[in-house]
Amino acid sequence: MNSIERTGASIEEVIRNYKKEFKVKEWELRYDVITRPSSGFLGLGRKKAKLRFHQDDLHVRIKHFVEKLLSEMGVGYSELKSKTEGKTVYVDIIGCSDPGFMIGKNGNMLETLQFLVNRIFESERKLERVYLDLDGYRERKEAQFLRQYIPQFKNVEKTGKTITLPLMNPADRRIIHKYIERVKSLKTLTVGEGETKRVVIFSSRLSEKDALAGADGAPAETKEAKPRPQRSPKAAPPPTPKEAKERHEAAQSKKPNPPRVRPAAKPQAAPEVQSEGTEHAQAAAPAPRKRPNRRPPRKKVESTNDTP
Amino acid sequence: MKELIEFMVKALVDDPSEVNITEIAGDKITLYELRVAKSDIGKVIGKRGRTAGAIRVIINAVSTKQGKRAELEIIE
Repeated sequence: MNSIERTGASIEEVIRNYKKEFKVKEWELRYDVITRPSSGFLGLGRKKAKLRFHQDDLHVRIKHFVEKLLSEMGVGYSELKSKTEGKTVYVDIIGCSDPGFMIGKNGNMLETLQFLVNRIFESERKLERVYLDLDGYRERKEAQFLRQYIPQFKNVEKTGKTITLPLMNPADRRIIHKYIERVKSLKTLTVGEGETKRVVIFSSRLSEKDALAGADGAPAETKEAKPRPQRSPKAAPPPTPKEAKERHEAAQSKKPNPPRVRPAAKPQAAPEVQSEGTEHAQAAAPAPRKRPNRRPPRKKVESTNDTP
Repeated sequence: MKELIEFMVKALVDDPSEVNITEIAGDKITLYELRVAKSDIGKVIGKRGRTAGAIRVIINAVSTKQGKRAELEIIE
């Protein structure tokens, strides 16, 4: 916390000037009057107004703002936690009385509130971003979002091959960058401009130039090749970490679970359809399970595909 | 509701003294007319109306929660 003293002809004037100087809003104005102005007697003993203003730390100010906003919205909570990490401020609302309302559909409401808070504190030079969280919702959602990419990250670590992730919004890209920052063997880059920005993930042994060459040379190829290995039965290595994790988790909680693991079903179906492309194998696999009668039309489709 | 709008808008703008909100109550919908200083209109509307949209989302959600309907109009 900081204290600043200002003097002026009248209390109102000092406050007005102070608000202008520091762009302080009504609700965060806190001050003590040290000396009241007086015109004295016949010009003798004239005193100027002297005020001491208190300036809170930025994260405290943001916390106060969220506090006031929530009370205006009529939402109760048990605690607000705020912390600063570099230029980022995190505000966590704990014990919310109406979490469903505050989070909204797909976290829309929380996102909107966060956007508004960011706009309001936009002009702060010491601040880059404010993150709003409610009972750890954002944390859970981030972890869930990252989980789907972790097998790919592991693959990059293992093979050293650079991958380009599909198009994402800035918030999602930020999550990926933040996560990879903590992984020592991996690094991230961004390719593309504006709406077509994509995250490139590469091994930290490569230089940025090499990684970009690898990513730029075949962005389409990596993009197409990437989602498939997870599903197609041909590429065994990528699913294994995921499967292993699932099995491990299942083994920890209940023993009869492992046979239920879904990915196991597809590789079993694959050998039945011999010497076919992975695409056909995927399309064909579910059909015989339902009705054997449908096989002839499937073959026709294949033949038409093969002829041209 | 008026206080909520006033609080959000005053926090956004540079000149809070120029913020003026009039409440027009209708049969079903309450209309809030917002006037701000000319230099602050851009701040309230935001890039592609995103800030105005955010304010409207919050107003709609809060008013729905109270079983009412509210609409915000920004007057230039």
